[in-house]
Formats: sequence, C-alpha cells, structure tokens
Amino acid sequence: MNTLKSESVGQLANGFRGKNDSTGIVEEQFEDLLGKYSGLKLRWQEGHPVVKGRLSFKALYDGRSVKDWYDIEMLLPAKYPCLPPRVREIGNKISRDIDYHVSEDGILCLGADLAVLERFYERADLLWFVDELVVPHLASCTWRRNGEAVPWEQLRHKGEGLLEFYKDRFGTDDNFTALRLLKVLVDHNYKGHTLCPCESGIKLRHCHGDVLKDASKYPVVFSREYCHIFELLKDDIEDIGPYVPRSIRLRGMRRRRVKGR
Amino acid sequence: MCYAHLFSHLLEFRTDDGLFFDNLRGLIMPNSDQSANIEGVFTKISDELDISEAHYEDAVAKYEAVGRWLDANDSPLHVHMPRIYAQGSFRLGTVVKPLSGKDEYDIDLVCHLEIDKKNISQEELRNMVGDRLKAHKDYKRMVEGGRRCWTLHYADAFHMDILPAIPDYEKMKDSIWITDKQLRAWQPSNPKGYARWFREQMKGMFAQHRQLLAGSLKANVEDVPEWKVKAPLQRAIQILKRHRDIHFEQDKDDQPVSIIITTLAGHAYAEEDNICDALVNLVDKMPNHILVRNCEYWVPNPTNPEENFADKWNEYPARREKFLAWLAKAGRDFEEALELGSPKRITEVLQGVLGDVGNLTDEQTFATTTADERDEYPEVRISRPVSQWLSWKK
Repeated sequence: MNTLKSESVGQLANGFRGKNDSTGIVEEQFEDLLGKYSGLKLRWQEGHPVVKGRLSFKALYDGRSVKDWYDIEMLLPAKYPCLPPRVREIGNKISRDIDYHVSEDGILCLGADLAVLERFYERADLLWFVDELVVPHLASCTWRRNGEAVPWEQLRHKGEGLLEFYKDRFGTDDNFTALRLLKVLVDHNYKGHTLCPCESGIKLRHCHGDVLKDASKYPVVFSREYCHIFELLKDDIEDIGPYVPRSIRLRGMRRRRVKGR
Repeated sequence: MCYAHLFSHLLEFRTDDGLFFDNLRGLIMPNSDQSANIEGVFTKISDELDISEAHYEDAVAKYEAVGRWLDANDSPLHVHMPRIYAQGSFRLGTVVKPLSGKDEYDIDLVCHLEIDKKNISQEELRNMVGDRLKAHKDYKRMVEGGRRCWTLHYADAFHMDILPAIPDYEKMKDSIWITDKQLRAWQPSNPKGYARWFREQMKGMFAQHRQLLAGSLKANVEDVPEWKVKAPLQRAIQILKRHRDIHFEQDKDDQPVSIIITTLAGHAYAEEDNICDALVNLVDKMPNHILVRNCEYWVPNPTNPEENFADKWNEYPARREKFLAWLAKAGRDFEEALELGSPKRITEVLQGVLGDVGNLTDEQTFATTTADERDEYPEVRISRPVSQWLSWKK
C-alpha cells in the first residue's frame, strides 16, 4: 500500500515540526496548486491559511472519465504540513447524505485518518493532496449524483468501515484481533518482546510488529477511530477490561468519550 | 506568476480585503485568472441579454392560453386541430434583450392548422386565425395585423407574432406553408426543422452543458428542460446579435437579419467549449459559409436549400459589405477585450461595444463563472483511490 519508508516519514514530520512558521511552505505549494487549478485563491483567516474557490477537474479512472467542478474551502491546520488540510464543500452541490461521505457542515471524509495521512505524507504537498485525495473523492460524488456506480470499492460508514480497513491493514479476519492490535497504537505501547495481541504465540516484533511500527509513525489520533470500532463491537465483548485503552482507563470508565480532533 | 513573491508580504497584514489582492494578482498574472475572468464576463453578458426565466415561463403560459382559445370546442378552428409552437430565437435559445428599455421581446409563434393547401387561400387562412383572435374579449384589443402574421401586444415586456401556417406534405418533416400579404405564392418554411439543424450543430456541447446544469440542480438530465440549457454557441450568437444591434443602431435598414447570423454561426461553429473561443472562431469563419451560386450570394436555409436568407444582398450589395465590415469590427473588439489585463478594463471595453448589459463588475461575476464556463478542467488520473467512509463524528 504505502511505499514510503518509515524513516523518511518520521524525518518529514520532524523536519516540519521544527518550523514554527509554515507561511513560506504554504505560499510555495499554493503557487504550484494554482498552476493547475486556476479557480482557487489563497486567503488568510485569523492567521490560518485557507484555500478557497472553484475546483474544476476531469478525473480519469480505469477507462472512465468524469468532468465537474465544486466550490471548496481547504482549511490548512496550524501544523500544516504535518497534518493534511480539511476540505469543505461550500457550494451545497453535494447532498449532506451519509452516502456522499460529507458531513453536515460540508467537511469531506476523504478516508480513514491513517490512509489519508499515509497518502498525504508521500509528498506532503497541496497539489498532491488535491490530486490524490480531494479530486478522487469529488469524482466519486459526481458519479453518485449522476446515479452511476463509483468504480472503486467504497467502505461502509463509521465503525464498520474502519474495522474493514484495519482488518485489511493488519491482515486478519477477526474483528477482535484487529481491535487488540489497534489498541497497541492507541496506547503507544509497542513492546517488541511481548507476545503479539493476535494470539499467534509469536513475539510481536516477529509478527505484527512492522505494520504497527509503520502506522505509529503518523500523527494519527487512533483513539478516535478505536472508539468507533469499540462502540460497534462492545456488545460482543465478554470482558471489556483488556479492550479499554490505557488513557481512558486512567481517567476512569465514566469518561469514556474521546474528543475528536 | 513569477512576480507573485514580490507581493507576498501583502498577505501578511491583509487578511480580509481579498478583492484587493485578487485584482492585484489579476494585474500581475495575466494568464491564469484573466481568461477565466473574460469568460465570466461573457457569460454574464449573455445572461443579461437573455430573456429571464420568469419572462420565459410567462410567455409560454400566455401562448399556450392562445393555443387553448384557438382550439376551444366552440372554435371554428377546432376541426383543423390548431397547434401553437415557438419558432425563431425564442425556440433556438438566442433571444436578445431589445436595445432600449421601451422595446419588447419579440416572440415568434407558428399557428399550425391541418388544412390542405388546395382547400384554402392565403387570405382565408389569415382571416380564420385573425377572426378567432378578435372573438376573444382581451385579444381583440391587443391584436394587430401585419404582413405575414398577427401580433398580440401584451402590456408586459413582449409581443407575440402569430404566423398562420398549414402543412407542406411534399417536403421534409415539419415543413409548412406560411402566408404573405405582399406575395401571391405561399411561402415555404420549416422552423422545427431549422431548430433541429441548429441543435445538431452544437450537439456535443449542448449535451455537456445540460449535464452540467443537471448536476448543479441535482436533477436528472432528462428533467432539465432544454430551454434552460445555454451552450457556448447560443451565448456567442446572443453576444454577436447585441453587437450588431449597437453597430447598426443608426443604420437599421442595412442591419443583417438574425437568421443569417444564426445560420452562418451554426455552420462555422466547431464545438468550442467556451464563449471566447467560439466568438473568435465565429467572426473568423462565418464569411466562409456565404456561398456564391450563379453570380449571386447565397445563405441557404439548411432545411430548404432553395430558400436564400440573403436574397436581399443581391438586391442591395452594400448590405453584404456592411455585414462583413461589421463582423470584422466585432472580431477586433473581442480580441481587444481578450488582450486586456483587468476585469474592469474588459468590462469597460465590452460595455462600449455591447451597450448597457448590466453590472458586470461585482466580484460574484468572477467568482462564480471562472473555470466553469471556460471549461478549464485539469486532468487528474486516479490510480489509487483511498476508500472512503464517514468517520469524523459519532
């Protein structure tokens, strides 16, 4: 899936983290973006960069093509480019229906946080972000609006979709195995010499170690996604003790909700 | 674009006045936004020239009412199955707002009666339709007879020309015979066939713009009425017609008729996907479609090759020369506008040659019509789509 070596991801993140001011990077990247998508404008709102305007595109996938435009607003976080922008559709062209993967306030759900970050970090660039993540999403919206099938696999919503994603990522068919493996990431608790949570009886470093270490390089708040999956599976868990993330256990069971980003 | 960094400091202390920076960027980046801007200006102009949706729907409702009156059970015309349908620019989607506020939209209609030519004279047909209109308590005050048609003057912003017609069974589908007071013979016509020909000239773009409109209205393509769709050819013709109105304002006699402009434009149009390119191409190529037959200039009716829309040009040769001179002038005007930098100057120049076409300088014009109408759709090859789902909140 992701071809970038984990070291370079770390370097990238650390390199950017060192800079307090991302103004130069944003402007430089925006110029490249404008070179392709001329309908966009860079504005600064309360000190935060916002890319706003009309995104027109002709998307090609597997012999099919779709041509459309959307009015969008990309909110670049203070930590940009350590974190990718959030994208909002402001033209009300997309239905706020769950099937369009757009929230009520128009924020596009581009995919699982981990998947989005992995893709974004391959270049950590605005143009890359739009080409790789935003346009495919908008193209799928257009297909759906036209009543056509989206030509690639669409995961289900919330917990179910996330569970599918992590089961695929960890190479397991078992819901609870995926949850236990994800908990290692939530707890920031990777210990190579312990037995792997997948119950293979092998040490973690020789079993699911690599995939967990790779994922932990990204600044994803796994606890948020973990909560969605946990919510889905909790009724089937006999003893929820081992499934409660450390951070939550420390704060007490009553405050189980983890605030989203 | 390369000068942008010189102005980048402006970004730091200016956070709200976006327009200022946009204009500034307009000045220093002539190739990115400007072409989009001018397309926006042209789109806005053609919107301004067009009949409004409300007027359109009102007009349709009114002529349908006329149709019902003619076809009422107690109407003498009832046995001839009268049908009313639109023709001309109203049917083609190339209506242009009259130059002065006093003028009214001119809506051309055909009143079709199923009568064989052998069984009726031109005068009888005219009178049949006229008498029935005069039998109506309102229409009798509004109706006025003309050379070829009956005109209904509405208090609102339009009048309707109702052209009595009977079918011509010998020619192609939808051919009709129409009356003419000044001529002894029936005149052939085929407005529906002409409209089909015109639509055929812009088939691809029309379908594409209909699709786009359907997308923005969140409707099925089939549910978008064709009259709501405006393809670049239609918009370009509207702008050309307005340019003609201004150019020949003091010389109405020699003004080229719309059907010549529309026919030549239909021939010259090469499926350009934006108004700018379409206009530049049209003014360049339209003269090539004026034919010469037997030492006469011809602009044949596409649905009836025997009919010459430009027969007057052979009677008054100056009209053809004036037509060509006007087309060349229009070409220069549009190219001058295209070469300008700022939206403000473009608007100034276009308002000079197109007259008052509404307020074109508001930011909205440039914000909402940039890449869309210009059809600037950068290509993105999707190779590894990230599967999506909803995960941002519970």
